[in-house]
Amino acid sequence: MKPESPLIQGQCCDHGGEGPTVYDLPVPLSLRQEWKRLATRRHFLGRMGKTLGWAGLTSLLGNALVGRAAAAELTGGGAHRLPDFAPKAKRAIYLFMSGAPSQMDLWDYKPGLTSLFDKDLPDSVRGNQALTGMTSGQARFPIAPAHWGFSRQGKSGRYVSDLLPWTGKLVDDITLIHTMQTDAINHEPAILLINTGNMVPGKPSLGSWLSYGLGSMNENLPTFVVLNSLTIPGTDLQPISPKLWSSGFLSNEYAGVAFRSQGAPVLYLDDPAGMSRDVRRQLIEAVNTINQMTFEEVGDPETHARIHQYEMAFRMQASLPELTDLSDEPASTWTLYGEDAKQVGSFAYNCLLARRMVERGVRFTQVYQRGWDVHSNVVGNLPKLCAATDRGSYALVADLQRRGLLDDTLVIWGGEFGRTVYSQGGLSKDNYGRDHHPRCFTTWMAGGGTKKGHVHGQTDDFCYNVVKDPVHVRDFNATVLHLLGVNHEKLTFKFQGLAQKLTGVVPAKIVPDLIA
Amino acid sequence: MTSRKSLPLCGIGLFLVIALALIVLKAPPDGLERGQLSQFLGRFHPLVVHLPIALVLLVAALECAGFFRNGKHLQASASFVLTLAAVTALMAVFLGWLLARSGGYEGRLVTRHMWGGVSLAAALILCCAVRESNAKLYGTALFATVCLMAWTSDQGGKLTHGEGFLTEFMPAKLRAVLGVPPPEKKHTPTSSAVGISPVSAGMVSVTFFASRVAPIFHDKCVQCHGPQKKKGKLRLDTFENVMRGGKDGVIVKPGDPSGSEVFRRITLPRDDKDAMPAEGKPGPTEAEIKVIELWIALGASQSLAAEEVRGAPPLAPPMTASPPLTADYRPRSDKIQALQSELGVRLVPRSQNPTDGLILRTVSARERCDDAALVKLAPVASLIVDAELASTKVTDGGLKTLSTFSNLRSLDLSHTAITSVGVRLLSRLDKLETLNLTATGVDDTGVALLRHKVRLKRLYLFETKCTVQSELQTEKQKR
Repeated sequence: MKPESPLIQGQCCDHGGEGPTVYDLPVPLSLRQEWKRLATRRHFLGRMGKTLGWAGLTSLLGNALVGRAAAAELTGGGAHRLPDFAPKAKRAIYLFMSGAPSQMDLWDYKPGLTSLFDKDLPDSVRGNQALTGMTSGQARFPIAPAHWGFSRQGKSGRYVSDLLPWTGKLVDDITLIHTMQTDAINHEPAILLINTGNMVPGKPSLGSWLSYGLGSMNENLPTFVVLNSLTIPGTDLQPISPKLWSSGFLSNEYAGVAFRSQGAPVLYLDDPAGMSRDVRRQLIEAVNTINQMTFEEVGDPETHARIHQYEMAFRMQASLPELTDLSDEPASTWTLYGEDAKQVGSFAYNCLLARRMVERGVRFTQVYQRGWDVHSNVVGNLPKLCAATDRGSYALVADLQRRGLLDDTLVIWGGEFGRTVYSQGGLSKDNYGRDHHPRCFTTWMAGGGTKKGHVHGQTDDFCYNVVKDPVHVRDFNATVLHLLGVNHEKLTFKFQGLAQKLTGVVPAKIVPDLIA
Repeated sequence: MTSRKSLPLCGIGLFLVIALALIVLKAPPDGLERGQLSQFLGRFHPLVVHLPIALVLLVAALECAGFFRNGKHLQASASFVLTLAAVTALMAVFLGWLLARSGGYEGRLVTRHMWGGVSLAAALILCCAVRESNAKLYGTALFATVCLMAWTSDQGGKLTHGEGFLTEFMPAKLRAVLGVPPPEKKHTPTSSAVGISPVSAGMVSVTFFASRVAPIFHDKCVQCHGPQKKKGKLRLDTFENVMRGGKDGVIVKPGDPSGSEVFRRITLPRDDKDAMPAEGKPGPTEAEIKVIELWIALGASQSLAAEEVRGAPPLAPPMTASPPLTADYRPRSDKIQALQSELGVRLVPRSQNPTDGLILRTVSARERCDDAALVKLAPVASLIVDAELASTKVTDGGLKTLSTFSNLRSLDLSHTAITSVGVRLLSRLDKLETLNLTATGVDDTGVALLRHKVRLKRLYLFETKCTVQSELQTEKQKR
């Protein structure tokens, strides 16, 4: 289900076939005693609270207390809360373009740049911005206009790049944000910031917060699924790693479950020949019993997460084949998504899978497509990337729309930052490169209570600075949580002395202009 | 003996009270600002005022202790504490008068509080005088003093925190028992602010001032510039008062934001001593500043309609409770729990607001959710606003049951075996807004009736035999 931590693996050893016992765990005696003492005290306090608290307080505090208790019962208890208010969106799909798509080549139309070909970017525009080491040494910063034409699309007649013939058709259905801003200029911190709200690894990702905060809708499937798409030959790949869908300091059960893009989506899920479901059930129950003993002995909450994972794996043995069996898809699916979607692991296939997960109650699906890091050869690589993702993105939104699922599903498309208007390396009429640019980039949202056919924010003529209505990553994340019914100030987890939240300590604000 | 010794002291006290009463009578609080020293001292009033309060309560406690045999020694100190209470009460009254005279206070509340304080000081001195000589009179006087003190403190509390501060979050049940009226809704300017102005007969339009400007004044300014406190002789609680201005003159120059004092004050750096709202109070947000700037620039009109103003920052998304969709589900929690475990379906509250209704969620138990299960849900049917029944075993028979789920707003029946026969019954669902019939056996005859439902905004018929799909959807979207 998720990469095994070598530490935990190392702790278990097999005693001549008898299986691991709790006494094998290298836990110091003093810690075990400490846990015992705490357990006793907690038990006592817990009981006292129940008997005294309920008798006296329920009538007085009435609504507030009983309400919370009732709500906890109905959501299955635990950390899960109900939405702070009834949301439009019940679930979300995030199409993540890792590597950072070029905003002025795709969405943010700047016709004025054509006449400025190979002119130097004015210093006043660049200001005192620190550039990456890849271009800070360049003698000049020649302006590279978009190589492709833009055409009017939809009833609104907005200009969209000819590289996006399919997604362009969505302009009347989506909200384009031209003024996304981030703090980081390199991939690793920027992708962490946009996925987890912090440039430093170790924080829970957006999907984990939702999973922790709102709980599961279908106990037979993970609440947070990550789909990695096959890479496109010749593109510049930036690595992505499980820390982007990690649950950080939250329990491991809220981490994203990554499906593989080749072969079986989840390894070792198939039973070996001859093993019946009953035998498997017995085996898992035995393992759970041992794990429960471990938990009682040392009290590590991760042990509960492990029990949860075994249970989830067992249920996924039944639910996953049904999810990934596309034979029940009608012909209309393939006319919409195209033949690409039949190739397991392709972006279009993952989009289709994301739609099937929406139908099956997966709360948050994040689809990654790597390769957008076009430092050079924009003209060679950008069309390949668009060809691989354009139709799938369009098909997903259109499919959700016609199936009546877009009203309560939020779809997001975007990368971790934008790209520079000036060329990295040599600029010619035929080719150019673009460096990282954190000051503005374009992201779009569809469904889930967002506006239709709306454009938010405005960048300057060089697509370099924000002129109007910037949307910082933390404001964007606050808005996403809001659309899902969560007040970002209230979804917190106390860790290292701080009430941690997705949007961090710098005040974040919801962007009302994005909300229908 | 003791009583006689203390009499001269009581005389001095009485003299001081009369002197204070005369001062107060001569120079009542009039809202004008005065000398710095009196302001400096006056601001100690809220601090000192707690001394007599605590001491009077302590006297009462000590005297009560005297009723018990092992509390006699405590009672012995009551006399000393009482004297202390009287002295501090005199101090508090004097400081209170300084504060009231230093500006920003006038009106009914402050006068009441002031006379309450004076009377309290007098009553305490009376208590001192009669304690040793007349136990019965003393007991009555002390009781009356405690009551008087409670009333006076309440007036003072209202003065600082606003009326209704204590009871604002009183539980509804307790409120009913005590007969306290429900709290005033925040953000609703008083009627004098002219919230709604008639545009033509029968038509009403919300004005920009009432809907956007007045709420800002009420939120951020009226606590100090309102009917209770009028700092700088300025009141911002009604349109007329805003335009009248304060002791430094007019604060709004129509058409000229930067020349308007109110705009200058709210846009000063927050550490400037003239910046408003005053230090320690939450400052205006960017959106609020923008609204006030727009309002002044457009002529500071009272009657300008909200929709005529272009470029106003959008209102923050409403976080307040939405109107109830269903009854509170919580009294039915036990029944809900029982149904969940019996049927395997889940009944999930839509939000923390218990009147937002429940979602019937079946995705983990689609095989078990059939017509019989729906019948069993009847006891909680009126709580369900959203039924997710996609890919379940529900058939036309179940739709008969569903047609009695009168509170349904959203119904997903996609990928079920239902046909037009059952769907016709759904036309009884008057509140239905979204109906998903994707990949079902329904055809045009089934949806014909539904087309006339006014509330129905979205009808999904993908992968059905219906031919009217596109027409219906566009037609509905127009509404």
